[in-house]
Amino acid sequence: MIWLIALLSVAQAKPLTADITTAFTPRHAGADCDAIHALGSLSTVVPALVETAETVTMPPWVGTRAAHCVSELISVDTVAHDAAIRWISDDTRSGYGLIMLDNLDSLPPEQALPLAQLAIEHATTSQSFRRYAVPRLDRSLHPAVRAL
Amino acid sequence: MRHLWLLAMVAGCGQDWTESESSGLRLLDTTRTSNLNGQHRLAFDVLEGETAFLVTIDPEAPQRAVFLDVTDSDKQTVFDIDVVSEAQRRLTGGQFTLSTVSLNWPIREQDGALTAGQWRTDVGIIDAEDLFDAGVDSTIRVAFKQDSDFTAGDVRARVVFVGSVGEDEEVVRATEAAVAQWQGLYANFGLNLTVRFDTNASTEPVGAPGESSGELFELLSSESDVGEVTVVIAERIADNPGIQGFAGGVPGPILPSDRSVMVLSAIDNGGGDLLFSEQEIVLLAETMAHEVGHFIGLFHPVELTFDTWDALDDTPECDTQASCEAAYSRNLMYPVPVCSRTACTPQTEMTPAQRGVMHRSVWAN
Repeated sequence: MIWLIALLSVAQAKPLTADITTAFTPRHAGADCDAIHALGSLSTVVPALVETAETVTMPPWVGTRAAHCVSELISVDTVAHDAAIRWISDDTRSGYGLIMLDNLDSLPPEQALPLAQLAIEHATTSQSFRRYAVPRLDRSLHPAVRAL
Repeated sequence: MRHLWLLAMVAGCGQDWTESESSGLRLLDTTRTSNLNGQHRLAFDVLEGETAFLVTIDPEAPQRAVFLDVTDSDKQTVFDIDVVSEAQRRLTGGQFTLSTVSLNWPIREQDGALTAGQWRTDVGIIDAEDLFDAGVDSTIRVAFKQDSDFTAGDVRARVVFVGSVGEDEEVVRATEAAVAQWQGLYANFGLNLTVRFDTNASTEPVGAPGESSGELFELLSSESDVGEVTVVIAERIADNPGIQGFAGGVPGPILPSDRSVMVLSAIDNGGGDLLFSEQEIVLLAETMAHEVGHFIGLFHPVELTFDTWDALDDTPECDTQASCEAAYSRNLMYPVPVCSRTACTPQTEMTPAQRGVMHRSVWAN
């Protein structure tokens, strides 16, 4: 049964990833997240955004734009929140992790602080991530994040 | 009394320029106040042997400017905003109302050669309500080049790593590799590209030209030589998340301003892993060549609405995604790289007319 639900989820996500990829490929389009979010419900759009970020490698800005749209949904969607946790912790997704940190100030402190703590942990093992993550945390509007 | 009145007229017609030379360009600089019609009426002399000029108008913020017309030394109107707008073709950024606006002339072969004598241009100064605004001060520069060969030229760029990216060996490595490929691309178009590298220690987030980070961009462009394109490598373009490259004008301003740079996002060009694959370096090189192509004066041959085109004769007017990809999938100025999920078609070509625009630009001397 779980397998069937997972299969259906993937089956739903496929056309959306193609639409998202098409929307995000132009050089100057940016990440129009409202247009992407309007393509479906959170339960379909967010997995498609995550899948796009994790599987579409060219052009590279398709993935970063998808990640940006995921970052806007961290506070309202568990799939987006789980992706943020994964990307902030994963050295092979450091770019996406930084994009998650760029949206930290829009989160309530109780969500922002644990993500910031994960970023600090990641920063202790990755100089590349630390170089960009620490200034972001230092600039945070959340006093508890700045204090880390 | 009549003589005094005539003298004032001559001064008002544009004789109060400060003339200088820099990097092989003759420069005329002035500041002007818009007249009662909300316009600057500029007159300047083109000298024998000069083959193109680039005018930049930078009005006091928040006002904007737009070129209304250009008249040649035979008093013929060679550029008319109404004619250009009606044609629904993008010829120059000078036809759009912007915070800093520039116009290069000639642009295309059919625009003819520059003729010696007095040229004039009228520039509208526009307020927040899109009305002409009198009494507004503008900084103005006209740059002239002497370049009789519109098939070969030099482009100079200064690549500035801003903030932490300058300490990131991976970003520096990828940028240097991409610049080498960019030089190869431009060489195919008859352009010899020379690049020098620099750093700036600013830790503030970098925005888009003309939208934010104005003081930083004005500073960085003032540190570049006249006629040298300033390319900013930033972590991200903070106020335009996901934008991987942003040129400050088509063409870019020839005086220091908040638009006188081209900005690239390291993260959005490097992807999710902060590492640049060989394919990403190829695409970064194409992005540099594409964005500086804008800065030199090129528009996309077609916009993605498929109903707006550039004003060149040899870029076909396709009107669907399929027909446009068929025509332009390899064109450097096509607004979309044509990619599968893991690879992109090389975009390394330009039409003769596109090359001609670059060679007529004062940015290519």
